[in-house]
Amino acid sequence: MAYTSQDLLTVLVAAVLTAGIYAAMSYGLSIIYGVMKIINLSNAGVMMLGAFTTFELFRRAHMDPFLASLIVFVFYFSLGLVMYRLLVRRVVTSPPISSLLLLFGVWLVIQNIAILIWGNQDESILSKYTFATVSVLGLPVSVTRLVVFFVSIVALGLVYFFLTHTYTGMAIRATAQNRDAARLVGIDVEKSFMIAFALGTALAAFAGSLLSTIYSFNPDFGRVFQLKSFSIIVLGGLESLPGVAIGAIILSFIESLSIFVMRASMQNFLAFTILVVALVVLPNGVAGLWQRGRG
Amino acid sequence: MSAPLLETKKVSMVFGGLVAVRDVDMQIEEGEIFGLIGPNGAGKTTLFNMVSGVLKPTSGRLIFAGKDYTGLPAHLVCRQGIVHTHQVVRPFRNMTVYDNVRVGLQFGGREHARRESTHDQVMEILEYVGMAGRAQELARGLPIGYLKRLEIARALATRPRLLLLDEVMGGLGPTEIDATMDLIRRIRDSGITIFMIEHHMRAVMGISDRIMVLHHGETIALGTPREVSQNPVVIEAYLGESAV
Amino acid sequence: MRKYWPFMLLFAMVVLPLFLGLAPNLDLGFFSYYYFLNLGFITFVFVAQAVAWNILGGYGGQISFGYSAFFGLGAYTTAVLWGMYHWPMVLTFPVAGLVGVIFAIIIGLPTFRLTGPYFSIATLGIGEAMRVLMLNINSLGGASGMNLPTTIPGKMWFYYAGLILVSGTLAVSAWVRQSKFGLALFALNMDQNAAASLGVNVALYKNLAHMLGAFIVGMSGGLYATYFQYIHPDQVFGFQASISLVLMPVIGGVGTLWGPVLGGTIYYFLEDTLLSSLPSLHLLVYGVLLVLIIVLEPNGLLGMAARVQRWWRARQKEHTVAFPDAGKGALP
Ligand SMILES: Nc1ncnc2c1ncn2[C@@H]1O[C@H](COP(=O)(O)OP(=O)(O)OP(=O)(O)O)[C@@H](O)[C@H]1O
Ligand SMILES: [Mg+2]
Repeated sequence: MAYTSQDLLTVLVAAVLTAGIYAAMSYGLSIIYGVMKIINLSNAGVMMLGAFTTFELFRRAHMDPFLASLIVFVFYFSLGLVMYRLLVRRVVTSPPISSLLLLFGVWLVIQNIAILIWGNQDESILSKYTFATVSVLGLPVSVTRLVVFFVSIVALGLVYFFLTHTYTGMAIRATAQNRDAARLVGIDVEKSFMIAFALGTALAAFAGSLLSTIYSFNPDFGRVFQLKSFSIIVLGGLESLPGVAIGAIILSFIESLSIFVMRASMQNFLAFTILVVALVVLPNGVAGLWQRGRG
Repeated sequence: MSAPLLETKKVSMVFGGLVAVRDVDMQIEEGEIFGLIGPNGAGKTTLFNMVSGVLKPTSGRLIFAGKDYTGLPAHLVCRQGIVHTHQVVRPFRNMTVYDNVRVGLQFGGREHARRESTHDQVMEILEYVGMAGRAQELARGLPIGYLKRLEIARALATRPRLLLLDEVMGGLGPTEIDATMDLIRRIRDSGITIFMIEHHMRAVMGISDRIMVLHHGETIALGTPREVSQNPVVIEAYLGESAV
Repeated sequence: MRKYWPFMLLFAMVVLPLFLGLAPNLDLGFFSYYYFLNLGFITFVFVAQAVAWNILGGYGGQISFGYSAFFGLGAYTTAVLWGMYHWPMVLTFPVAGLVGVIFAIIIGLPTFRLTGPYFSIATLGIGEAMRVLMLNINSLGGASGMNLPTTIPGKMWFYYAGLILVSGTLAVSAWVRQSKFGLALFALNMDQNAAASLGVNVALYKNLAHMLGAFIVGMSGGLYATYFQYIHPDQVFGFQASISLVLMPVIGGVGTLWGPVLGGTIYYFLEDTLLSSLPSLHLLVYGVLLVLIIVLEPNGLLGMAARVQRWWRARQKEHTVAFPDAGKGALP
């Protein structure tokens, strides 16, 4: 089969659009790791719940899926607060094995409740945008993907603004830097943890909501995207937004270009291989490389 | 004159933008007790961490018994004969006192692979630091004084040539301090060189052969306890701190 | 007396099939001959895996979500060597284990030298990556899976093979606990930096434990493949296989010798009874248990049992001594 430069351009545009949602879905993991130093495995379950919540709002209340994603954000922010108060609070200072297993358990519970409610089959959201396209650089581009891209970027921008320009956000970042020092200067570290966890949870559900407008989903839906998120944050050095953005772009481009050389069904293998290769050659992520260059 | 046991050549450690230790040069002779003092945050623990291989210096060289070992990982540094205790105690909490010591004995030091019949040796070390009666207790239940001793016992078990003690008297009462000073002297007399950080002035002045003063990561004085305590720069550094 | 109960248990496991074999067609439900052999074999294989997982995960505190990779690679190794190259069946098992070991090195070397959660993160993707890879390798059956020869020994043979595997694994695990190797794992589990400062080569021992676990799980994958005579990537590399390996030891009592045995036995009993009616209920129950255990009793069911026992003893004492602490403490 021969590929034209037109094909290449199509693929690159798709890669850029995908990178946006990839960054949005990974940043929640990154925030929670940065502030609390725990790996939030429940992320995958929450992503899936975000998708199904959107689905129900769309199906039963005929709500626009993008409007629904905002409701999802607020709702799962509150759920994140509750999860923190009830469970996560108890393991923040324990050895990593506790938080890892606890949140893994939460994921299992979420996923299997979802199976009881929605069954194991694939669902999808067919809205008025689904088949609409507009022309970008002379190429037809799906409206849904375009909107998802912009919504993701705006959401990331707002979260970043919150973290850098509000008192609470700066307290969260100080906690991430050094929790003991933060405590010494009077920051309520416990509150930083709680808000960071809720924010990460909300972002995951929000990303799940956006993804549900593009892909079909089932109760196991979050797992694959969670694997991709891990590759992205490892590539990005785990803790920074620029790192996450670069990681998302790298993964999305490699995935998109890989369709020229391997079957699309191999993508999960690719994400994992990238992760292992990144650990071998760039143990501190791309951001580490960049810091080394400066320092 | 024989070569120093430990030598640092312009070692520095930078965390992000913060220079925690800057260009420190020093030499410790075999058999001495070398004290390290300085205000909080001066970079003392950071210097220890570089010497023991926990942190890799941003720049500078480390030389032990004539051998450059800069960048060697911590467990290999330990096997060369340098071991350190932690300022904030870090026992293996769910292990017995006995097993805590066994870790040092079986893995640390130069001859760890050839050591046998560890039971006698563990008990010998526990007796040496006065903890034999607590051998079978779990570390997590010990009071702080004993935890500090356990740090020392574990470190001694590796049969070091150079022992780094980071504030082992912090939080102890006067009698415990006297006992610890006595213990440190005995350790030195058994042939182990001591490099110690201490905030407790009476103790460190009373026990050290030489003292180095660190301030904002730089050496500001070095000499006998008497010289250092009369050095105006040192007095300034300490007064400056307490005035803040 | 207390010390001998593992041997008594082993003895019971050895002789029980012989008794049941006297009347192979009698239907005693759980204790029917073929039913028992089948359940016994499966339970042995998975308990062996749980015990193997516990060496790195429990003693060393390094959580892996990726042991299904070793399981699947072992199954495929046996399938290829036995089915395609006609090796003697039993000889393929150690090779299956070795393939697991090689893969363990590939994952362990880059991740264990780093501090941070990299190992656990990487293991989350291993099973999935291998599943996808195998689905796409057509010479190994691809998405249609692989059939193995049907010339296999009887159920009785498998029962005892499983019993040997699980007893051997338990013996290894018991040996590790009291050895220098185990001391290193416990130390690095509790405080990695302190262990390194005392001379423990942290990365080395993590890798060794990982390799040991991979060997056992790889062998059990080979044994499993021969028993079922058919393997498919979704099944042997599936996430479910990895999940169960984490759940069994943690629910039973992570880091203990017998916890994984208890957890594994209950796991397969629960699965057997719940799976037929509502498959997701099984994992739901386990997820809830996992959460409760981490929050309430990190030592799992064994820890809970010990707690109940202590509480019971204290109650007994209360009946005999009205004021157990009288005369001890100081006046307020
Ligand atoms: N891992 C680290 N990352 C970033 N900064 C660090 C790190 N370790 C130490 N620092 C900083 O380096 C400086 C020196 O710290 P250090 O612990 O060496 O001081 P110290 O002299 O031991 O103080 P103290 O007497 O309180 O023990 C401090 O400002 C501290 O905040
Ligand atoms: Mg210090």
